[in-house]
Amino acid sequence: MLHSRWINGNLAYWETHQCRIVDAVGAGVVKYLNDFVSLSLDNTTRNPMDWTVFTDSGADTITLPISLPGGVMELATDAGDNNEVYMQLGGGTSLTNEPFVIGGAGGIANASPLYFGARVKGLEHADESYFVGMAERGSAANGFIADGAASIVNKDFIGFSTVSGTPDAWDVTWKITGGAVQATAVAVNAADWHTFEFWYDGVTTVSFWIDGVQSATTATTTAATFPGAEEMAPIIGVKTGEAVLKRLQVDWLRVVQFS
Amino acid sequence: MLHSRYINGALAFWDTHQCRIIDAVGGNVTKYVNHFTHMPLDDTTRNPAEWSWVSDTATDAITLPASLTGGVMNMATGAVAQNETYLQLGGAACATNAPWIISGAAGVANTYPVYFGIRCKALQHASEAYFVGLAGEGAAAADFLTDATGAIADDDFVGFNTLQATPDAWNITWKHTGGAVQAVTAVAVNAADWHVFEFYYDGGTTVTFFVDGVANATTATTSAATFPHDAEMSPMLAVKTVGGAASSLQVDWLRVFQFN
Repeated sequence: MLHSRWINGNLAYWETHQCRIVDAVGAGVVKYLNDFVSLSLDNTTRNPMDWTVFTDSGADTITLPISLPGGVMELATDAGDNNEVYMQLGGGTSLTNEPFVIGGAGGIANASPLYFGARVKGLEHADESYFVGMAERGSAANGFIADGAASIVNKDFIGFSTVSGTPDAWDVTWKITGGAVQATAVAVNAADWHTFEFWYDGVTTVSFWIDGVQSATTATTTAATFPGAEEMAPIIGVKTGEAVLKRLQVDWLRVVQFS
Repeated sequence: MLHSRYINGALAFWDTHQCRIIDAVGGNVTKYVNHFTHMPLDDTTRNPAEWSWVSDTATDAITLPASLTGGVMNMATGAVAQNETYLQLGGAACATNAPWIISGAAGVANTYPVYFGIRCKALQHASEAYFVGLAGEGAAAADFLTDATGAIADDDFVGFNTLQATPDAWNITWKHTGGAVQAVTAVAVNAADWHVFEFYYDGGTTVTFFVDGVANATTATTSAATFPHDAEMSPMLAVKTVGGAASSLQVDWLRVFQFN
């Protein structure tokens, strides 16, 4: 059931819980909403044109699978050990931009709440790593997820991941470049659909939501480990830790910031 | 603060003033809204895929700059005198379409209000020219901004510009092909800062211009011979360097609505 509320003078539509922003209208709204009923692909390379794509898996690593109503995008690696696919919102092969930020300098309140949500499914759960969330510009690059699929590279990021050591577990994770990675297991990766969300309240707290339920884990934006004041863009990635192809499907992705 | 009102039976959301349309819903609404959080670019040429792009500046004339939150697109020229870069909404190198029209034949009322709004910043103000607004289809072509002066070519257009001779001044300007160019000069100072430029056609015969949220005293009458009445147009962004320094136009957001 759809509801609405005001956030910084903008009209926000929410459902399930007040932090799940389905859409928003207002002069202070910056948003990216995609249900993946279509995807703009380059006529030659067949790569998405409004995302920066990095892959070592040849053509057609990004597809729209048949027989999946509702709109679904799939990222697939090849079947070589450490094959990887990343896509970060931006534009084609150009460097990505960084439209979203959480917290002001030092992570103090910037009065601009931010919602991130994605419904995703990791189709395998044996020896791979997935990531959905936001990261700094240029993260869609070789080794964003380290070889062996064991960890995420030294970047600013916040989101949800699995790593090869615990492929059955989805973790909440965040990190500032140079800091220690933060991670808490929050969901079982059983090759099933999950809705992962986080909400920055515009002050100093980020809360995380797993399948509509708030996690006990929160992040404090002023902590030295949090990517406070770091400009970021949505990123989705998958890396296999063995010579078996791995796939991540995305049903929808929504990012909304209220300035 | 967001408000709403009905325009021709469509629900229009507005902010700051009643003519600043943020979004609209209705079976009769034709709209383009872009916050430039991303931009479809050809994988090979790195040129925009949904705009007609004309430039003599090789690759990467259009970028999404780092460290600018909120979504910003940057259009740049090369660093040679008369280098130019144009974008007109449409489809890649194909001819542009022209989805919007202001008034009917001879500029009489067509009862279809139009809103155009943009937040933009000219990064230089020494010896270059800029244009943001609506222009006739195919306007994104060499010398839309004339060499040396930056004067706009003989085309249908309505919008805001700067000229080489007065690079510190943003002007309101419009023209009907073959007619005399009209200008309300120096409506804003171009100090390499952000401005919100808007105009609103009331569906009758008046176009009102807004600069940074304030209505300008000068309006355009669509039935005047100089107004691009009955001319199909689409959004156009243009930058030309005259002095030879690389020049850039940044765009934070762009919104165009028509209520048919």
